[in-house]
Amino acid sequence: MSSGPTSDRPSALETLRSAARAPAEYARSWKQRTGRPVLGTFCSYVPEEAVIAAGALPFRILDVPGEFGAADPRLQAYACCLARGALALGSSGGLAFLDGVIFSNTCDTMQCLSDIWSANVCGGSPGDVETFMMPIHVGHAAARDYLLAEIERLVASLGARVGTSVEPAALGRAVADCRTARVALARLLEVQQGPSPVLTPPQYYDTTMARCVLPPDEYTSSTTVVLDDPQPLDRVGPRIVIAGGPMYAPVLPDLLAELGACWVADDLCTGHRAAAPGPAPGDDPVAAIADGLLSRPQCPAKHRTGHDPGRAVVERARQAAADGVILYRLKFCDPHAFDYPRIKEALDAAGLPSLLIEVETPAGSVGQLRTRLQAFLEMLADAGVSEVCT
Amino acid sequence: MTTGERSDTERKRRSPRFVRLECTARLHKLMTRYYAYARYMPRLGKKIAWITSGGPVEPLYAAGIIPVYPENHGAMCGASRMGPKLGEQAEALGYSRDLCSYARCDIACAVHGGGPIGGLPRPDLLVCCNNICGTVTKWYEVLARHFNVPMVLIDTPYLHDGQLPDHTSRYVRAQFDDLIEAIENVTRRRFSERRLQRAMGLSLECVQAWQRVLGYCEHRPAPITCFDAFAHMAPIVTLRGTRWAVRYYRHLEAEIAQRVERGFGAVPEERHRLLWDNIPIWYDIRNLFKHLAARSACLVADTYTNAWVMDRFDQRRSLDSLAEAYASIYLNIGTPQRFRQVAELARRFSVDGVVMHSNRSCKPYSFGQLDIQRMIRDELGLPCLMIEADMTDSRSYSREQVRARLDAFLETLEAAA
Repeated sequence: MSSGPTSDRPSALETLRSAARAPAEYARSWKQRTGRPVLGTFCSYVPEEAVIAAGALPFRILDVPGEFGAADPRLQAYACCLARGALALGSSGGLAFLDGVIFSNTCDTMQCLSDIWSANVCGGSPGDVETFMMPIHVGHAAARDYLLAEIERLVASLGARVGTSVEPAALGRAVADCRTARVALARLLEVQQGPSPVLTPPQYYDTTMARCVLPPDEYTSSTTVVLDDPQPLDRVGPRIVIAGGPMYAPVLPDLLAELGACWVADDLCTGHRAAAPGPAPGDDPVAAIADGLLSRPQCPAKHRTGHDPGRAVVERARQAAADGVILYRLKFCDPHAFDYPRIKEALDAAGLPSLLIEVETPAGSVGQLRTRLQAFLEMLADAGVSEVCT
Repeated sequence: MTTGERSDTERKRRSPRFVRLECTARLHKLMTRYYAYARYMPRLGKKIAWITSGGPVEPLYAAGIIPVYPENHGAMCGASRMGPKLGEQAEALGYSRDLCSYARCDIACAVHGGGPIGGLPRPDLLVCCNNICGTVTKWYEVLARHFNVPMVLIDTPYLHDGQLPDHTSRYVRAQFDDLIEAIENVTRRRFSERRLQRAMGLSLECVQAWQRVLGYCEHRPAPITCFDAFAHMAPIVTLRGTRWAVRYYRHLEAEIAQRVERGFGAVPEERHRLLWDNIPIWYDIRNLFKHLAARSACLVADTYTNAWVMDRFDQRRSLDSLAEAYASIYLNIGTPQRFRQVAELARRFSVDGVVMHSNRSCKPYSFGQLDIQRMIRDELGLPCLMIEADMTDSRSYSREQVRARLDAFLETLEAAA
């Protein structure tokens, strides 16, 4: 597995791919190589800068199994597959390389999962679980002060965990590094949504998912190589935008590639939403983290007065000159399910064809998914979009 | 006739009658008046606010705004067995069947009308406090778009360790200022602190009376069951902060006190005292009562009706105190703290076992129950049964399966006794 800087496009893409496709292996090898701790997170709102400044690697727990047997005695079957899969993996020792997990109050399920995790994965000791409370009311004037206090609390707690206080200078460096990585990803996504996309759907998946595991400097160097040598795709099929929650298996991108479609943009928490660089940081790193989190594109689990999820997805699709939109959600994901009717209504009004894909597990039902995608892409072809390869 | 058939017949023969509290007629009159008031007073200029069940209602009453509770309406939809039909209407609008059935029923009624009382009066304001779940935030966003009215969100961060840190307290308190501002915008009147204190006083009086009502179940035999509490909780939810509710609970309290004096037991020959966890299965309440009562089992306490015992109000610190009280309610605290409350109820009401409703519609109430169940067994030494259902949507309910599991559970209790 590559760990050093990459100089050519294929090896840069391979670095991104190997991290995206085998994140746990990457994290284990990083830990072995550096001797430093790895801290798991579930939500992109957990400030990675705080983890990095504490000398640890933030590892977003997404690569979870579709078998939930070990989770069933602890969590009901009407929880989403991410929560159940992670709990199954954690309960059976599959995340033993982690030195702790930081939970955020992403949704009701994740909020409850943190206590379940403490009781079951940590053997009843909450010591291996940190909580970070992100304000839901992100547009409120008081949210910033609250968030500043939460970030400071987390930074102090992580410092205590690693046995040293986290210096402001270290936090400042982490803020700068993470922002550089986000800027690199945002630039790449900007190119991708332009007239000449440069990533195939699997490469798009790898590039965004690798951001969830690679340290920012390594990520930036790989992404910069791709940006410097963009190589537009030869054939561009129907331009697809994918909007929804976390997509943590490459089944859908692989199928899009197989069927000749081009994934040009996303509104996912593993992609565009987490890639937003935020405002340029000032002297205070804690304030920079808070301002970055508060200014992100809206997550459906957060509230901002006047936000219209339908308008947001339509705008995203128009920016990318999309031919169609795939609305992707995990079964039992309430925040996304509540937004669906409004998004569908807005897309219909804008004349943008859409397809809802709800998955029990992201890696399951490939055959059924292929059939539905084929039908959707054929419909786009009938509507006048050329070069559909089925 | 087999032994099983004979025993079923005997049980049917001596199936106990649900003896209604005399106050039930008064309750119906009160709730009819409340909904009629909410329906017709807007014609005279009164404003309506829809509010979540754990939301701060006192500022609304203080400003003369009529609060209406979509969740209470959802419970009515469930009790009148309209959940599946309304759920299907919401699903036809694109809302997943996996979403909260209260929300689905309410959204269906908001869009299409209908429901047990012909829908709720149109709101002028939406007040959403997410201390009970994140679902309400999304649900109220849908309502805000549908009715095109302002929505005030009071975000109360989850208290994993049950403690309310200063920065959380300040954040929640700051959002109460928005509520007051929204109220002033809707009423076009200056908000009165004095009236708020009065509403808080009435709310506290009401909550204390409700606590005493529930407390009567400490007696053996219990004079009422949780099924009575579920029915008579409507005023503590909807009319907390008014004289109407205080007066009502005084009457209820007096009637229950008389039952205790007479040695009346809600369940004849009460043998097994049980604790209920989670929202009731509204559409099957009566049958569940009969089924349990026929086996001498009485639900004497529950975590749901006990959630409306917010008694930390300090009228002198009005808004600060409201913010603290509403940020710390049962569903906004971590699993270990929830277990401690269950343990306290179990001790106080001398229960012999616990029945948990794993409620598909309420994730924050249900996730963590499996750990609480283990703690109840291991730390309290009490048997604990979990049944799966949905509070409103009977499509997710198997009555016979639940009965069979209850029977097996009660046999265990019988053997232990």
